[in-house]
Amino acid sequence: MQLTTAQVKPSKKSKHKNIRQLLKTATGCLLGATAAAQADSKESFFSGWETDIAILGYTEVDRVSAIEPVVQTQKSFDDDSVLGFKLVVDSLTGASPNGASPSDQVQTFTRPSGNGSYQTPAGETPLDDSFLDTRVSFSSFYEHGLGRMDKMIWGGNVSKEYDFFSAGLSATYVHDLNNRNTSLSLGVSGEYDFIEPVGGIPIPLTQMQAASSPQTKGEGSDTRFLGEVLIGVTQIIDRKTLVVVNYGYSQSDGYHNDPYKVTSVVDDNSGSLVQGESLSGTYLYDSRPDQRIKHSLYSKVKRAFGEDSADLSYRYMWDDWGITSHTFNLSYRKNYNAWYIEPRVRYYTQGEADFYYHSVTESQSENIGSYLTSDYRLAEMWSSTIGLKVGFKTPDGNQNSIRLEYYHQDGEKNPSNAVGVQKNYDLFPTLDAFIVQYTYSF
Amino acid sequence: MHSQLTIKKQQNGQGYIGIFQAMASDCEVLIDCDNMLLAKQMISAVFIEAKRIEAKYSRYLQGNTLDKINTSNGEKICLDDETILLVNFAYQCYQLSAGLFDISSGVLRRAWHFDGSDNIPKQKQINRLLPLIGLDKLIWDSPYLTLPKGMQLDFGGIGKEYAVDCCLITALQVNKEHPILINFGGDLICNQARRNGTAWHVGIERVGGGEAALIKLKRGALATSGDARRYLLKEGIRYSHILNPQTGYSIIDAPRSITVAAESCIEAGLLSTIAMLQGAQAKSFLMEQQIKYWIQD
Amino acid sequence: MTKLTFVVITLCLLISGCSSLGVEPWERDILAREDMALDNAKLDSAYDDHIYFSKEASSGGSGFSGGGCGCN
Repeated sequence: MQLTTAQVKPSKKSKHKNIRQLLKTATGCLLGATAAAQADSKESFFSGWETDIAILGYTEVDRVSAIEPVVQTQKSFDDDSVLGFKLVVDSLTGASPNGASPSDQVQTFTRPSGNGSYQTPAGETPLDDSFLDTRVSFSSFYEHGLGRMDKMIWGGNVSKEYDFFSAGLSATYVHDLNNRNTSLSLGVSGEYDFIEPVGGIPIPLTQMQAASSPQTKGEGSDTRFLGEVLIGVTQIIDRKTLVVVNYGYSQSDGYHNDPYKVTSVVDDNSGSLVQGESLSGTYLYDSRPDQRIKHSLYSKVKRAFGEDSADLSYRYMWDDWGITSHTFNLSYRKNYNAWYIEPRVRYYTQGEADFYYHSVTESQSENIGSYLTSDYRLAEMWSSTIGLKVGFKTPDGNQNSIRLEYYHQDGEKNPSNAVGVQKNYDLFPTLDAFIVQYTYSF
Repeated sequence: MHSQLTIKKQQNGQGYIGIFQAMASDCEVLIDCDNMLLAKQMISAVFIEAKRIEAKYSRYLQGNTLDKINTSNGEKICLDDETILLVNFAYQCYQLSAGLFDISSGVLRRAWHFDGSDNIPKQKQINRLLPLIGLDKLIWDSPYLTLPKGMQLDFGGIGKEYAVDCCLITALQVNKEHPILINFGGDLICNQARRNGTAWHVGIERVGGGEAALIKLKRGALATSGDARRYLLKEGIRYSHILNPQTGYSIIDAPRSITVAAESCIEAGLLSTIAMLQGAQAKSFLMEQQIKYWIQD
Repeated sequence: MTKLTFVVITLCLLISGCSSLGVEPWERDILAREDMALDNAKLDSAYDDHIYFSKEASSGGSGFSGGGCGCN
């Protein structure tokens, strides 16, 4: 809702008197003390906040688990401005693939700290279980009108975890037209990331050294800056239908390597381990370009079907690392009088980065070029999610919801360029995860 | 239950709604509450209060309070407490509007018939009525009112808004806890946001070339002044049904519709009417008052 | 570059074709329903964005893609 005019300061030369106070007094006399008492109940700053508290449990089969409680709150003020805050705590434990490939021998890896090592049995995907991380993030937004048909949304966020700090700001301008049936938005955001990995920044493409040897680590920390522009159009089609189309451009400069991931170098013929400088295997530290430019095209349709509604969206992403991806998401909400049920499916597929290799042979490693990664997240892969959400009211009249989802991620398990013994193993770490979320709003 | 009152469940399952006709308008009362008995009690209380005020001050009923005043034939008449408050209020509005808001201007209806035709009254017809208009011509010595012969009082300009405010007070006396919206033909009030914390959604009709709006109300009242249906049209000039009591003539160049938000419906109604009476100056008048308003030109 | 051109043209066409579509304010009853709001499950979307940001190569689309987290 926009007002024709918000509170405008009266000009000294106005030819109209402000009769409002007189009228208020007159009304007070007419309606009596009862009415006046009702009219006087001005809302304090601390009342009228809409709050959600939620907790999410995430667990991967044999790998990472996380618990993420969140509190978010917001309030709409009389002048239609909105202020919101959000606090997220997320605690991770478990093991994560370190990028190395399964082998026919036992493999020994050094922990990121450089102190201590861990071993992977033959035939298994190497997982680094040094992960024990807690992250705290705080964000806030403020939305206010600029005129009848325009508004600004300002945002800020800060996040800290053991080895990472980030701070960001954003500003979005929204303009309504066509009797508020169309909304155009233009947003920019900037984020500064400070990365301080456990054990220091590994020198890219050097070998992982045994815990007993000196580590090939450089500086203690590095930084990265991310800038984004997001343009969007929201259009009401008819009484039941709404469409959004967004285009996003993002550019990040700085440190992009994953300091905890390596690539296995295997024998040209046997596909087995190659003796390293101090370890029994040769593992090269991750190396990525220091710039990444991403483009995304996103569209969503929301449509009501009687009392129910459906939400369908598609995102196409492409970047200058050679990755393209498609994301489809469909959810259908069936509304009943006091509760609702909402099944959902998501399908995602991505191509691999130009410099992704599940592993490299010894001769390949001699001509590898500047960039190399075996991070499964930059590999060719596809994933699907199915979920169910149920919303209901508790006796106190407040809204609750429970969401359960199953996520499955898979990639090229038996690539054609697998060498020797590699053909016996899965070269993509298949992932199965379960998600449980409970939200309470008041 | 009352034959003219319909009570049913709200379509969105939020509570109950009562519907009836009063003061020549479609009236509705929405209560967000699951207790059917309590909702019926509150809606009935509103219905009874609305009908009471209508019966007391309607100019179409013989023998009621208003009729007794208007047939007093120049004699002193003693007013009841509620009418005393209303007359006091009318006087205060007369003063703060510099004479533009005048409840004795109803006699102009004899000359002006707003039927969408081009029958503009002649100046002679208007001149004959002007001596019969002007609150300053009454003798008001509370509780005694003397209305000169030939003059008439009409609470039509504030009746509906007054009823809306009184009905809310009545409903809250039954129970204060639940969100209520009382809407008499577009003059409405609510006491708090809806149960799930969201605002009530009120649509303002688009008039002429103006722009419609969707207002979200969490607390307070709205009243609209406008000539959506009652006007005269001659030689391309639109004669609004809002008449200037000092000239007897229709306000020229007034906006088609003004909606004002205020804490009480009566306050909102007065502001929108007085704004309309400013004609072309309506917008600058509203800006001076520092209130929320919506205008359609 | 051709991808970008395609995007720009699409957006322009959309914006120009939009003026005839839409509803009057009093016809927004269904659209005003809580489940029809674009961001009606902000918390869920935020959780999802975080999970998928840490498990896949893409992020953003409906909003800014900055992670604010070291998981990727």
